[in-house]
Amino acid sequence: MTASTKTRTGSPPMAIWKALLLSLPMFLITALLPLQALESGELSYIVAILVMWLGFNVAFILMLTTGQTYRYRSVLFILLAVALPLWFIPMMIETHGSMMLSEEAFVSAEANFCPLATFMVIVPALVKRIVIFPSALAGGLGFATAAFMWAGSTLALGRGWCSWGCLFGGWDELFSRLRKRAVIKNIDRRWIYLPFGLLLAIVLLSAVTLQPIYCGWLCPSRSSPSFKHLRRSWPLYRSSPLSCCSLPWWSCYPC
Amino acid sequence: MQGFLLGLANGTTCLAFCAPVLVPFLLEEGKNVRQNLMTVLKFLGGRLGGYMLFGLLAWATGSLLLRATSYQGLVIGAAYVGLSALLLVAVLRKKAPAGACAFEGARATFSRWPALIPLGMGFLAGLKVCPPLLLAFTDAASTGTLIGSLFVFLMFFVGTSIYFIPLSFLGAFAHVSDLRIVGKFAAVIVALYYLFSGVLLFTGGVRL
Repeated sequence: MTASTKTRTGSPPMAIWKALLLSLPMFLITALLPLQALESGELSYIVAILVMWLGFNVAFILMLTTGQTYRYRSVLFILLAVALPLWFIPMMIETHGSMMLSEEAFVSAEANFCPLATFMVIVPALVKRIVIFPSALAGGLGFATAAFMWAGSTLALGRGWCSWGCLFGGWDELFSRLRKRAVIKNIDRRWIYLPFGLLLAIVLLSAVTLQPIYCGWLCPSRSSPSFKHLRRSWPLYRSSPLSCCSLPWWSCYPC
Repeated sequence: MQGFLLGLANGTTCLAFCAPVLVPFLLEEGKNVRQNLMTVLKFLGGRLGGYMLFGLLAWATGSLLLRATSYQGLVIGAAYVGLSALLLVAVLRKKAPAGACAFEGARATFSRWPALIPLGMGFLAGLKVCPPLLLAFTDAASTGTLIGSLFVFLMFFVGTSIYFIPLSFLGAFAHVSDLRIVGKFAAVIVALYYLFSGVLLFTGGVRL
């Protein structure tokens, strides 16, 4: 069997009873989610959690019984990526009144901690006890939660995150599956230097403006605080549809 | 002396303001340290021109100009658009497609006087009203004489220029051809940013 055939066909199919047995620990551990949801008493929340719980577990069993890991992983991956903005944007609007943080929230450090900034913030937090982010140290999606999630996911998943959890990868997956063959071929090799050019421009422009240019102009997840003048200057981009459209581009270049 | 100290104290700010234009340009040109030093000096020459203009205005208008905030937006906006155009021409002139009319004239002009690009960029970058420049402007306006006003800006220029010299050492990486491509991409991105900001400032859309 060649390497390519092996990748395409995945693992050998497993008997259903074996697959169920192997899935049982995950089935029980993840059952904590719907059990917790039941306590809330909110029907829509309970249904959503149940669907998610069943979906993930059924997909896992199907991966084992059919051996088509790639197919089911892809479906889950794309669904996660598409669903995340649908949750994240209303959550931002519900919490802050808009996708952007108000200056009040900024001053009172009520922002959700940006997962991308966690690593950069750890060193000054440990050395100088200063958290360079308008967010709480603990509670909610504050620094401690973000740092814990970052360290935990890095240790537990490693690069698996990129092909199973990362929303940018999910959008990549979706777009790469739209057609069987690439539409644009023979791309000039010099384009591989665009991310470095972008990095250089971001660093230099941030130094001029003394503002996080990346967070304000490029980051599609919008988990960082937005500044008043940027909100005025680029309202179209900062609205959700355009922001979401930038995701595939984002994962190709600035990521 | 006060202008010199002011420049020395705030030179890093001036460097930060000019670096987005100068660094990608120097990288893209891919010249050695000595040639880069010449380019930086030309850029500084342009900046000196901008500062002398400010010195003249400080003498002529006193502090009146500082109060005309709406005109500041127009001047800086126009300077940004000009800066963006120069940066784009500097980067794209060598590879402009045949028959691209906008580039034909520019290419001919700049190939005849290549020093115009760094000089022009320096001049336009010098028009950016930053806090240290406002301080120098106030100092210059308070002298009351043309010579005094120009001298304040000249000394301010000397004080700030010291910080620009190390940029010449980017030429040490001239043999890394990939850096030229990186510089080119960065220059285009910076140019687009300045174009966008310039148009907004010029039209009074936003204060950056």
